[in-house]
Amino acid sequence: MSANAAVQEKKKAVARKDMTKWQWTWKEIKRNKVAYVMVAPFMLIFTLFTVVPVVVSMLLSFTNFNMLQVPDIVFMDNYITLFLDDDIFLTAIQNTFVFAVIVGPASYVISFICAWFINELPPKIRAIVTFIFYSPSISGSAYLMWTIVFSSDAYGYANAILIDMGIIASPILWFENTKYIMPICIIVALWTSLGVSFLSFIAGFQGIDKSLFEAGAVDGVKNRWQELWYITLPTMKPQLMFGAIMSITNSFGFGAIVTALCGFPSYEYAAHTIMHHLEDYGNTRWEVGYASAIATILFAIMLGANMVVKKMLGKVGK
Amino acid sequence: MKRTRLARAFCLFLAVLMATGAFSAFGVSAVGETKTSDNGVVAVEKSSLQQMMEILDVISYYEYAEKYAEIPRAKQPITIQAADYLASETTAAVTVETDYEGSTGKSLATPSDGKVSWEVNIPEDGKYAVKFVYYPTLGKASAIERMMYIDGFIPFAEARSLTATKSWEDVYEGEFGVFVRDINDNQIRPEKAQKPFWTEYVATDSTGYNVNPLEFYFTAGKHVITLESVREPMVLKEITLYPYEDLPTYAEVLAEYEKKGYKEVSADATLHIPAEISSRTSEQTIYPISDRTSPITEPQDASLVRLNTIGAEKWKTVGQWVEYDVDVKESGLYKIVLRFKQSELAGMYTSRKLYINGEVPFEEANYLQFNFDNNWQVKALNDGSQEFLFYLEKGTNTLRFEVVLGHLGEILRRAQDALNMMNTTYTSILKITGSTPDQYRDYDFAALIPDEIGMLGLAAQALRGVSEELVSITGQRGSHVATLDKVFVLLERMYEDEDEIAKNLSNLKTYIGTLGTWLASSISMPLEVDYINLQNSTEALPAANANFFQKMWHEIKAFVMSFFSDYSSLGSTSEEVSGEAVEVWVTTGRERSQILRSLIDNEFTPHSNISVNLKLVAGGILQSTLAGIGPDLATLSSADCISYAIRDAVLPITPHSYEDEEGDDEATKKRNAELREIFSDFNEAIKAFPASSTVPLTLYGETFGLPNTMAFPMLFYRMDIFADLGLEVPRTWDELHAIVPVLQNNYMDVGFPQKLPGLKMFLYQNGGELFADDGKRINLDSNVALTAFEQLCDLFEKYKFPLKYDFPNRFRTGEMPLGIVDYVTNYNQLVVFAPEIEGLWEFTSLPGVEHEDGTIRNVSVTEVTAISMLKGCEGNEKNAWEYMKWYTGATCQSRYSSELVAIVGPSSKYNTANIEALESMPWTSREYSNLMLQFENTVGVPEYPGSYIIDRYVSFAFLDVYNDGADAVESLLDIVTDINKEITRKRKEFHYDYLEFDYSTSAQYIESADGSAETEQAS
Repeated sequence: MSANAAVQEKKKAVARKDMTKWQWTWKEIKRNKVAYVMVAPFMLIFTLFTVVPVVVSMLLSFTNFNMLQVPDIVFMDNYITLFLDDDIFLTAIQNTFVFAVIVGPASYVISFICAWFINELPPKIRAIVTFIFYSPSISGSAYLMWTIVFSSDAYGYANAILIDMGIIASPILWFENTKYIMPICIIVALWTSLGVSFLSFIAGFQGIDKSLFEAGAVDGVKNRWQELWYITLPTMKPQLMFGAIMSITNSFGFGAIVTALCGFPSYEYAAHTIMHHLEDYGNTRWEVGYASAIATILFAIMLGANMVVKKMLGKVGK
Repeated sequence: MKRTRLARAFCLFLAVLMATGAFSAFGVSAVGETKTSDNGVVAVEKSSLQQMMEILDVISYYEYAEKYAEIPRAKQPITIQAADYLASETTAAVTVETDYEGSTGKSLATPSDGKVSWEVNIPEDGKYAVKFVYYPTLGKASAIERMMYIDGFIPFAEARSLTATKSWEDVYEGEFGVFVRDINDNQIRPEKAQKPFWTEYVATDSTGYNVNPLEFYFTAGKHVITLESVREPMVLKEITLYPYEDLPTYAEVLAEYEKKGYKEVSADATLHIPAEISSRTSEQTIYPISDRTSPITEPQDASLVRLNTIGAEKWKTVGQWVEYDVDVKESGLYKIVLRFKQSELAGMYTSRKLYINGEVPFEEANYLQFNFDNNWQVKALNDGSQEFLFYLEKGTNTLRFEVVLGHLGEILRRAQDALNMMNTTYTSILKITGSTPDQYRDYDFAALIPDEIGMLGLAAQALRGVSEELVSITGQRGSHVATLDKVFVLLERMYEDEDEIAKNLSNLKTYIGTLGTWLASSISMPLEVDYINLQNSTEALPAANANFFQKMWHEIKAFVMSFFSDYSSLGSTSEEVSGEAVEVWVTTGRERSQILRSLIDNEFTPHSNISVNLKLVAGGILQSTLAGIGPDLATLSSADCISYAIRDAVLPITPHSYEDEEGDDEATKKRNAELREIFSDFNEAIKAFPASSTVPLTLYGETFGLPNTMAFPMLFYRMDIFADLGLEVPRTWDELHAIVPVLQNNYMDVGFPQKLPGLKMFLYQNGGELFADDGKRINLDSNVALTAFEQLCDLFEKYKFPLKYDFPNRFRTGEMPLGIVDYVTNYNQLVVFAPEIEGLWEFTSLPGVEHEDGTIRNVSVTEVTAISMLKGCEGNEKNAWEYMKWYTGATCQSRYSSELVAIVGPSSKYNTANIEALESMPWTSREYSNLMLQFENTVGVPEYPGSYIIDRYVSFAFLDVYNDGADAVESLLDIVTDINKEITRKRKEFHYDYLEFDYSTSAQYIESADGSAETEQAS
């Protein structure tokens, strides 16, 4: 797709030899001014509240900034410390990747499979089932119910049941025991992960032109799997892309749920992700420079992951 | 299997205990027997077992009255002169006064603690009411409370809190009843002053369940009457024992009026009395308030503050009264008409009692009713069935309206009784089954606890009766009755079928709470009054509510005017406001900020002429300070305060922080001098707080805020359970170790602080410190810290105390009868959340570490919040400092806390750091003395750069021990390096001296860890 765009751009530039590239751009802008006016409000807000903060944060990552006094520039020091002298950061990277590798793809696949199955249902039931599957992610902090299920109190559901059944004698500290922290967090993360991507998949399934299947049948598609691989998935590429990006970003930016479940920081940093490390330095220690460095790295990792995913999705249907 | 055998053994043990316990529950006589031998503990000053028993084993007045129902009333009164007290039985520091404050003859001044006794010779057997002639000397804002003993015994529970009110008057600067106005023409509430005078108090039930005076039974012969002070001093002149006579009924009084030829007054005699202008009130907190809901409330204004009503939420507790001196123009019969609003108690009514010139004119005047309505109402005084006429003599008459429970009193008392029975039964069942009983097991309750099971039936019966009577009184079966119905249906089921008991135990627990809450809300009797009309019955009543157009016009005006009102200068009395307004940000709730706002408007701004811009925010102080638009003053936790301070965002308030330095220019020097001048009374200001409270706010000699609140843990315990199990309250940790097995054998647990709070408690009790070398390193590798940590882990390992628990809930149900938890939050929660165990629990000072010299060190580690001056305040320090001093001062803090309690309710006790304010807060003297034991015995932990890291690592170490059984000492030593590294890193960042901690030197420290290791200065 990017190659295509480049070709187009080249063509246009070549087409007008009587004016420079900038003059030509300006002319095009004037011609399409209505479109620019339309997009302006969003661009303005997006720039102001997303682009500028990202850039500022990147700049701050080269400074030592304590929130209240003027920052002083320390160049690469933050990055050097981060990679060479911060054990916890390495733990955080490890945990983040564990989350990303397990939760990201798993939630992606689960979302897709659920969407696929649900798509087979009659419309009315489909609407209800969609709502049920989607509700955990729209109901805000509904995941807090897991803190009751896995409460360390003897009255927490899991503990109470296990004690009742005679399996354990005293309550297990679910969120304060390295053995249980990660598995439970992953379960909860998966539970909440049927979010926007799931919804977009459902939309994608429904947006497929039925005539394509007929054409496919004529051209010799033999079974549902071939139909899925050669017709459904390639048609759904934009949704798949969107879903993938959402899953990746979510699984890398995973943090709030862990904090809500295990407290901050988690016991022995067992579920400490990059997000937590960032919060730790940003909110607790008020070292915004260092926190910005962490954020920048997280940003880079997400960008990289997205590119990899893009590459992989390019192979769909081929 | 093992558990069953254990439980069976305990059932047996308990059955024996019950058999003895059952006696003690109903008679004072058994007190001595149930007291099991204590294991060599010397008599304790605080609530010992014996004292607990005494408190718990007293019958109610209802039972007392039943017991002596046959005894006739006495025939003649006996008067005792207070000055003729029995010196041998008196422990209070009393003084005899002569011709005190306008009285003639001798009187006796009694202080706010200790006992005074008198001997009295009773000529004949009989029942006597008791009347005191007293003078309430100037004191705190709370009422006078006494306990009455006859021959050394408290005859019934109600005699424990005989409450005599004080009298408060509005102080008007000019003419009586004319409110001062601020520069914007808003009315300012007048101050209240205590105006004592000689008056009478008849001993009555302060809970309000019994309407008539308490009658004490005396046999003929000599008796000793003792009064023990609970709250507040007073001067006593005489005590009269007299036979109480029933009041005449209205019909009798009316017949009397007719006989005397009294007629209704003419229309000219009509009197209109604005209710907000009271002559006297019983509380400081009953004062004129502003109603904006109705355009015809008099006076009213669309945008300005008009004080136009009195009462509402501030006038709802039994015994509180408001009094009016009325100049009556004509002698004759009057109807007393009130414009009032009672929109709180849905489906119920609130009650008042009317005194005319100190006398209740007839029986029905005890039960005046004010029905529920969302709107204002205008009605003549009535008891629900008929409206009354009152005879008033020409001249000045005094009308006093007092809060009573009215007809509901008797009903609510029965509900209270049922609740007590349910509680007793619940704890007895709990001790047999534990909190999660086996549904399929036959516990054979009928054989083990027949009395308690019988109580279930009695309670069910009582509640059924209450429910039916409420329906007949209010004429509807509303939600308030539904609560009762649910409860008694359950009780009946449990009583009739024993198999249901174990199944429904948790339901019973829930319903006990529900019933408790229901009772607590039913005894509050709010009423807001706009005016009182004295008129004849033929004249038409004024309109109660405005018509549609009046309302609309009012709302439109109010809306438009709201754009032009200057709320920040509310209360300023002078055009020349001195300097800039002080901007204060608070993060408390809306109610609290409104109370503060009104205190500022009425007390701070009028006196100082400093206007204050009070803003309620949800945080964001850091961000706004960063952006340079932050507040001048804000309340911060001590950790935040120091975090801001090391980043120069908080101004120090110590004068020596502003010494001139070399190279300062003239402007700086001048400014420094000014600031030194402003803060010159710093040392004066911090005297108001205990020394421990400023420690966390001070970094290297500079203090960064005045302490606002102090939160520290105290020991909460259930008296009933302790008395039942025959346990003493532990004073040392060894004693705690001794009682934990007993509790755990009865399926009970202990709520204990863990992780860092637990460690700090033991560390400071052992005489250690958290930091060493002025905050350059952590002191956790010292012997004392290791010992402390071992002590803590030992308790958790040995007894498996739960790490996570909901304390108020488990305390309420009796599963956790002992806990070391923050005093104010838990007190507040228990007061509203667990009214069913009211009077059955207490908090007291912590157990301590016994040191070699025999002293017990039981300090509690306090958390502090402070009000601090933020960087943006520069140039306005003088006004801000004035506000800080006023806000943390005794007057404001005690007013603020009593307002809170008056408005928000008893669950809003406030943990002020001000010593003087704490004293004048509405704690009972027992609570207060317990609280003071700990308050004076607190330590503050200093905050240093990097402090935040300690908490997480200590909790890691603690969990290592708790989860994996790791060695306590090793786990603690393991984290020392990590903590020290962080401290050093943080100190480097802010250019403080630091110790270089790489791995080798820290290992060195660990090796030579003895608390006073020589440290190498690395930088």
